[in-house]
Amino acid sequence: MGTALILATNAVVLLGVNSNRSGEPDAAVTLTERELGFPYRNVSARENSGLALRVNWRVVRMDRRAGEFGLDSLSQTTWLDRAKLAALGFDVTEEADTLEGKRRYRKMLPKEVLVVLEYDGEAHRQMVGQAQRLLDGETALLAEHSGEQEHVKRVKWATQELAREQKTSSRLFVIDAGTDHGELRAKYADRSRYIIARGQIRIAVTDRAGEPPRFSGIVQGVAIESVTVPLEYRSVLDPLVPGGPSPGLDTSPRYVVTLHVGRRLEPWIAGIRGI
Amino acid sequence: MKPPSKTEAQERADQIRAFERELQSLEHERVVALTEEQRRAIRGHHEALLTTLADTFDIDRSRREKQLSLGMRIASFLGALAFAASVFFLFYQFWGKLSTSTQVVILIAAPLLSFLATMVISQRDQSGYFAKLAGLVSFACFVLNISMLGQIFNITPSDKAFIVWAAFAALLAYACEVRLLLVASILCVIAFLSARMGTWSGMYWIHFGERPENFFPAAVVLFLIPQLIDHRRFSGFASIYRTLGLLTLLIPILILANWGMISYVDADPDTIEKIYQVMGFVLSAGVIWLGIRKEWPEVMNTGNVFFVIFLYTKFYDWWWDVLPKYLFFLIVGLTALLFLVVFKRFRKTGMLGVGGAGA
Repeated sequence: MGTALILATNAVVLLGVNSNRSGEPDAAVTLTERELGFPYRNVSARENSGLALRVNWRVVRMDRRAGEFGLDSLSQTTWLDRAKLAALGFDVTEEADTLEGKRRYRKMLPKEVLVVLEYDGEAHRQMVGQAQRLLDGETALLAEHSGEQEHVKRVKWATQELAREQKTSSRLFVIDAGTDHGELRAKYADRSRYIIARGQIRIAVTDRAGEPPRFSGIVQGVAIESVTVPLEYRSVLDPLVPGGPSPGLDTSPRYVVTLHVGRRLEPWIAGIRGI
Repeated sequence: MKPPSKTEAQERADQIRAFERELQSLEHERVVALTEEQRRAIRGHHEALLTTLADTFDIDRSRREKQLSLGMRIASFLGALAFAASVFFLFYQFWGKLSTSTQVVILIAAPLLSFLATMVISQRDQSGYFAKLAGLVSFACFVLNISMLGQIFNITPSDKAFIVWAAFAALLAYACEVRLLLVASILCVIAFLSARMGTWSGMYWIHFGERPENFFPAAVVLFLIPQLIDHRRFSGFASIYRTLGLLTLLIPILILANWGMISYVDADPDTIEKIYQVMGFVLSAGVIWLGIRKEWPEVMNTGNVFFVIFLYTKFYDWWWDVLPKYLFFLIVGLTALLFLVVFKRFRKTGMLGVGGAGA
């Protein structure tokens, strides 16, 4: 019976893999090292000869004004509004500025939904535009307060931000979510640019002094966190791994990856080549 | 009558040794004097019985053997854990250098071969120590099998893996009478049932631990299993089901009694905490009563522990900040004294049974 259980379980798993990879992929996108990077190095990596590339996804963050530092929530979005959250199955009838409402939203757990990831599209252009506007703003402030070290620093930081957006930051953005795969694929038909994957959305309550509390949606995670690299492609990546340069401001991506996503929304690497 | 389990066989052997010592004392105090014929008959019967029990169940015939057995159990446990860890790290060390098809073949072959080895070893090993080692390695191979296939093919994580792991561990546990594997199986069942409860309530399954009420159905199921299925042949299994069932019930209640915010119930957290505190007291007292009544020492002890924890956490909430520390600990000590007096009275009035269904 134990033998039967082992064989049956493996058969189910492998049949699922075959089902996922059969037929036309749901998405076939060519990404670079910016979107599929090496894993963070840690002690256990020495004990693990396998390699899985980390999927770097982002969301378009709220526009930052010149003169403002501070970290925005990198996963808070502008498109996860009340209507969208309701469509995803969240009960958002209560207001967040009541005690009960705040408690209810803080208690809500993440839901699993389908998310749409866009590669090198409008979302990335928005972020580049934001960075450019920020740099323009900081430059103008510097002109008004010429010589002040604080503003010199800010211009330098804004310049680096723009360069990061243009050259090294990921161009893969979560831009939408839904519960019906067919509807999402009909809306985002270009399979070479849009990936549909499982993800988790959570509600967060922001309660800042001087402002009424409000709730918003957060992309808590995307099911595709990393993709294992098969042996046949390791020859391209292995020379790059230990001691290899990470992309800095002056370093271009070193490889491109053809990523396929199957019918069960599970990905696999169909090709890697060096640049 | 042949004892159905190793525990009962060991109890019989201990009984025989105790009888021999007591008989010596009675003869020394001239309370009784057996004839040579009677002495020979008893000795012969006991020798034959002990030999049969030792051959069938590999019991300890003396205190020295008992001490050695304890050492072997510890070595077997540590060895099993070490071998299981070694299997994981061995695969992780080399899998990146293998093609996908080779990885898949190794991952499927490892649990198959180790399972077959476990079955062969358990047939030949009366003591059970080597079978426990092999069984745990086999379970580790199967866990590695499924989790690594998931990594290799980037499969979406699913709670269904827990149920197959639970089934395999249970199979090995019952085949080889290994309690550690039963615990592993039960933990997987708890994870699966709780994750399912979470999914049915609309959450993403990985977050099932954030709602402790998800664990309640699993707790009830576990506690009822030994009531519905006879486990006398499997030494200690019934106790494990009951103990883990109670822990699965009382630990979430303890958490909710202190952190009402994470309850499913949509109410003021303070009110939720008060409700769960009362529930905790009532349930742990009920568990103590049940353990005494049914002569289940593990149930009674678990109830005791949680009753004390609930009580002392309430003491802490009420008095830690208001009373001087010496007074606080004095009250805690006096409460412990009160428990002693109460249990002594129970013992005196015969409310505690003699012996019990030991693990």
